[in-house]
Amino acid sequence: MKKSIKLIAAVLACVMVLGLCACGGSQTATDTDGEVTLKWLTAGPGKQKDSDLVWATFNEKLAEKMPNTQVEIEALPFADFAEKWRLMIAANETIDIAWSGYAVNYTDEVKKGGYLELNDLLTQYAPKLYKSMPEWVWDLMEVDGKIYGIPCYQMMASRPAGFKVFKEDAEKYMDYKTLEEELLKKSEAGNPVLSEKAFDVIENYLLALNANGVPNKGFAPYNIAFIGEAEAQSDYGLSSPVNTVYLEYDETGRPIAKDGCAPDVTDVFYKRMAGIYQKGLIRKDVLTASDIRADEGVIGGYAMWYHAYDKFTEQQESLQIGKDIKVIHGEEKYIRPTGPAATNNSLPRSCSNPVRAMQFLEVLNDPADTSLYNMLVYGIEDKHYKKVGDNKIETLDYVGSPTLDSGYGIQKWVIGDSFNAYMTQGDVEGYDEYVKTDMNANAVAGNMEGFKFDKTPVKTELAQIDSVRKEFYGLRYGTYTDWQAKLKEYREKVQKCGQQKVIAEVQRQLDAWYDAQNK
Amino acid sequence: MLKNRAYYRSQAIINVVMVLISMLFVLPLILLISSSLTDAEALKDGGYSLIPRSFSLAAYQSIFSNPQQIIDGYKTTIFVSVTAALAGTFVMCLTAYPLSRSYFPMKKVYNWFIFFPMLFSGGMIPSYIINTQYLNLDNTYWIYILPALCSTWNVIIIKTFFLGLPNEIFESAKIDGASELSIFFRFVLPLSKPVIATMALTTLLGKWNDWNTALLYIRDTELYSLQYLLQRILREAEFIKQMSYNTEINMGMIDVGSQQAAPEVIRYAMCIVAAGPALCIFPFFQKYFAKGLTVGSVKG
Repeated sequence: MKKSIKLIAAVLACVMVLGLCACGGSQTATDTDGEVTLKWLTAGPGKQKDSDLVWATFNEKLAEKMPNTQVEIEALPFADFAEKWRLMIAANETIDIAWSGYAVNYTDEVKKGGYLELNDLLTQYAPKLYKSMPEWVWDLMEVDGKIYGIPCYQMMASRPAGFKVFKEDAEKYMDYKTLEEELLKKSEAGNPVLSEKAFDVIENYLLALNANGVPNKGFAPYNIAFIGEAEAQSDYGLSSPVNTVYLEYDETGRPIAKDGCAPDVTDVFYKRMAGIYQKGLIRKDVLTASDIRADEGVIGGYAMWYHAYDKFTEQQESLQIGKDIKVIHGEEKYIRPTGPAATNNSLPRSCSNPVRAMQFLEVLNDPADTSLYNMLVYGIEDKHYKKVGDNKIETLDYVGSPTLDSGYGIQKWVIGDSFNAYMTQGDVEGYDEYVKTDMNANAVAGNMEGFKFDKTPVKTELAQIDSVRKEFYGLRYGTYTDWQAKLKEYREKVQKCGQQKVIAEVQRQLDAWYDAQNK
Repeated sequence: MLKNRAYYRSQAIINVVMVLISMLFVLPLILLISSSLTDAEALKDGGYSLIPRSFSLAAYQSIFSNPQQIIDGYKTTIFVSVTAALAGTFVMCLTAYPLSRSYFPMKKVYNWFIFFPMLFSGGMIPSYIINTQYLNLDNTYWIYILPALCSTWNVIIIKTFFLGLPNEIFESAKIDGASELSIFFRFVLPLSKPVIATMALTTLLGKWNDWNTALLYIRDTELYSLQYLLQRILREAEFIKQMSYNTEINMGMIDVGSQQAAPEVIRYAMCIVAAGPALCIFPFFQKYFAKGLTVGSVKG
């Protein structure tokens, strides 16, 4: 017995020593001379038929611009990216450049020490890349004042959201001007709930469609919280950080956290939704349907649905759907988002040569010569695409997004600055220009720009509240006949989960942030 | 007469209960098969039914539209699971045999070495480091086979079965001058068919259903296992759908138009394609299977 205890102790000791060794092995080499092969872990449809060929050709071309530098690309499928990335970085595998887009939580990874700080590298080795994006885009990437990711430049501002309806029907049966007025009023005032007047328009429209025998599947349930629950605010840059809390501003502009579950705040919404459901204007199986979005933008599908839009939406979506649609605006501004960009490249902590990696990204995203970038995105000319104009191509075996079955193709927003990409037959003329000069340049700061809510102090409470919210989803779709009783029960439960503590914590952090801003 | 009736009645009740219980297992399977053969639109509008309301092979057509991938997947999976099952069972029997002999001197130490990692294993990241950085098994067939060769739990079951073999056989074989190896091959293995079949089958099914290995270690499409391939097609579609739904407002130009999620029908068809062969193999092993499962429990 004693012997075996000793043995166990010895084994455990060995394990601990080995564990320590494994942690201490990070490299910090920064030499810029000699042959370097950069390993680039990127996302995409996965390794395709011609991937090896394209990447070999890419390296030949790259050698003309950057002698001594080769790139070894590993393209992971989006669905697997997060898991594999975590494993590879935990194992300290050498990765020189890694995609750090929406699949991984950028801020968390930075806090865990997964990425290298880029400020000095950017200004020193990639000045053109640094200047290609407005200052506020870089601000988004800052964690504690430092940049850890290079956004793949694309549409950066948040698009506003509004109702989409079929034009022909809406012009006949809907008072859409009133609805638009009410939506704009709501977003202007930062109200969590749409007015009764607006609900009247919605209900009357749906009833009129049915009365006149227009085939439709009613009101689309997706995104419905945006018109009636506190979380709606995040839509308008007012950015309530918590789903059950909404913000109001006092005369000095100081944000005040308000209880989104207090009586009367959202009653109108639940009442009207119950009415809509009982009149059969929303699908009966809304709580159990596996894909509630399947009938959006389908002829004979939902009569109205709530989504993001921009200047080109009506034109683009009408073409896709095959019937003219109309967007009922909900907001007139483009708002800067508050979180990091959706798709970026970073230098992981296991990067063997940060200087060379940064130099490579500068060359890759050079607007003066986009051939390298476009080769990685579209492949080889006449094999994967045909040139039809100066900057225009036609992709040969897919339209829009490439898939695993395509010969070659990676989404342009994964590789780098997507404004450097050729236009394909799937793109709309003038759209890039509009996004770059109209949306990105004119985007305004949301009221809460720069405020980042730290959830840790109320983590348990938030998790509990979230599960209660899910339990009572029937409220927002109006499926309960006794909605008032359910609403009461819901509110009591949320309060029991520590709602007041959450509100106090939000307020505390808001005050700290506001005071720091207005010293 | 009366006794007879009571007997039949109880039999009837037992049978009805058993039929009901087995229905719980069989009906979903039938539902799955029927759904995979239903027209996608009909499924969306009318829901599920045991007999396809409007028969359609479209789902299977779309799965097999790129047959090369599926064929590669089948090749990998069949090769890997058969090899792992045969080699694995053999290795495990070889490991278990000495441990079951009372006169094996190092028995306690080996027992402990085999048993301990079952309780405290290194975890995923250390094994990933070992497999990729020291053994360089990633992106090869070996990663499917080698780590699966010896499962501690199975070794213990086999060992227990060996312990149950009558000792007299070993003694008389020894007296007749048989070596340990010939005892193993000529007596132990032939007498242990049930446990061998069980272990082979569990390893086979385990490997057949394994997609995690490919997820972690495989990069080349040709080396994907069937399960992973199907899983991937689904996950990719699901993932893109989810992403586009959740972050609609901030997704910018990320366009999802052409990446439609695989409709439910295709999922069901995939299940059938992936599980089908394993379902067919099972009945052949069944007579051993029931016996093999109980062998661990009784000694002597």
